[in-house]
Amino acid sequence: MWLPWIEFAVVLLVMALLVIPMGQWLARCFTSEHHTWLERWTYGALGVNPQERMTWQRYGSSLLLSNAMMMLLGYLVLRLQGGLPLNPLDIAAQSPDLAFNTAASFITNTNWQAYAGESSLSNATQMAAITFLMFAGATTGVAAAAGFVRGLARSSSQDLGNYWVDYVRVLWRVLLPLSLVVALFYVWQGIPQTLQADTVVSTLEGSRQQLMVGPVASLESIKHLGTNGGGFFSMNAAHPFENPTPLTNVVHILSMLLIPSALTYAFGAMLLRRRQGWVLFGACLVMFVGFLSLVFVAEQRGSDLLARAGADQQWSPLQSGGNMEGKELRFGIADTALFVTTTTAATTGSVNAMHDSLTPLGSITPLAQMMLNSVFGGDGVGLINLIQYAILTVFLAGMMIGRTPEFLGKKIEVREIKLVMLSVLAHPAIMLGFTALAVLWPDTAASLNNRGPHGFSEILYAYASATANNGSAFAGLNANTPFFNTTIGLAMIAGRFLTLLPLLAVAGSLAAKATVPAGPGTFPTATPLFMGLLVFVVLVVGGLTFLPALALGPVIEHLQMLLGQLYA
Amino acid sequence: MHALQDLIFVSLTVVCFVALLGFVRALVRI
Repeated sequence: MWLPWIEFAVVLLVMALLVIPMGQWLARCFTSEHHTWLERWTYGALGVNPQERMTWQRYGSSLLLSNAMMMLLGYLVLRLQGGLPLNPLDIAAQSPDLAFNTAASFITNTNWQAYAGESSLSNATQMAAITFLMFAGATTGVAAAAGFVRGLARSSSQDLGNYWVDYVRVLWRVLLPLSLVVALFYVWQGIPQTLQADTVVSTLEGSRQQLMVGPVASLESIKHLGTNGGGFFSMNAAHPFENPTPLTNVVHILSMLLIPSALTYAFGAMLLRRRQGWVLFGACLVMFVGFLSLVFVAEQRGSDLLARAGADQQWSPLQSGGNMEGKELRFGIADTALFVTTTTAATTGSVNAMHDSLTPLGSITPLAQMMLNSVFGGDGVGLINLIQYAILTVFLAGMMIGRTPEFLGKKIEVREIKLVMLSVLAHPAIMLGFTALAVLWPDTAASLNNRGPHGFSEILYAYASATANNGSAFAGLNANTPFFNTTIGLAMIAGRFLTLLPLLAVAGSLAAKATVPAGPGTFPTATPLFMGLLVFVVLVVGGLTFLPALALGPVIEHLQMLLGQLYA
Repeated sequence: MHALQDLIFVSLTVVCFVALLGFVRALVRI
């Protein structure tokens, strides 16, 4: 029974060992003065001046405009699919509302899918719309983190760097080479990489079966490295072509955590405050282990209702035991729990099990991590969200001791706190606002598989996933309707940018301030005490905001389940 | 029918991003 815990410890140790080299790589990418010939050529092709120094407004506007253009391009490809090459199965274009949802989903790094990839996208679209936008969304997030951290590092300056330089460098120096290496590893492990659309095989029973294939390995690599999550197949990483071996499962997990965890080190390296970076890493790790323990214990304990139905939930060397509904036998409870925790911590959205089938207590882990949105978080934005909470923590600590709060040698004043609170409040306002609208919408009941609190959880999960730019689906909700496609699309756009832009403004505001030396009244932020306070603030703010919604969903469902009440 | 819907969703996308650019300008005044 100790084996799963040993596996968790080994995976997290490998992640921690990768933090330093990856963090150094990222920091070098963000701070290098040298432009390679490929980068210079790209600046020329884009018509941008790499020497331009950008204020946060210019940086944020460039980010918005580039994302708008790429989203429209993605929409166009999805709508013109029927007339594009590499579509031998003549798959029709997505409907306009679904194409809007899909384009918004992939440019915002959400990768929510209201469609089944293998039956509604051609190989051309999988590459030109889906994989393209996966690179675009992830690169945008990491570039935003580069500008944000640079703002914190600067003093008496208006300059966050150059968005285009950050974008092009992250793409050429980090994501493309890493994706290529990981894709080749996946091909070695048996993940298909072909332009062929399908293949026909003879089954063991002697019948013929059509298997869908395509450029899966190249999509899988950026899907996890970019904390994207959208699957080539509707079964996502539970499909044997997306996740064929235990090794691919572990590499998926490590790939998801690689950049978000390493960014904490890059942050420390860029600010010459490495201990501060480790404090942020430690805070994420503590929360990660807590949520992993919750889902693992809940799933391993299973349910009395399953026992009454005759299921053997006892762990043995030959079986996982516990609640195996909706899980792959080959992954069992441990690898599923680790995947569930990772995919919602890093806001990836890739799944190797059906989250709808988690026990009510187990389902709190993915929901809560999407609500907090800062347990490592997505590429780039996770670090930004965590620093938002760090600023809030020094503000609260400063109020308690009656001193002006300082963070990284900068005084935190009214403007920064207003901007931070705008971002902190935008996240729940979008998520809970759209959930409330969907609950009241007359047609919603027809989209639900379950009634009662489980049905509410299905709706809450959809908007939590959209707003946190996670993309995983709880399942049980038919979201491919004009209402859900439109509102979830809007939630993804608002969730991405209404939280990111105020924090870029915070970076601009802090960049303009002079750095003050630490005095006797300065609250040290590179200590275990601050790490504990930061975790406390994240959990208390998140708890106060989201507990009522959780109480209406998984909490009440758990209590009802103890009484034998189910919601079919 | 689809052409009208395309117009609606492309317009919605444009409106969203124009509003976000306005949001950037509003943030400057905070």
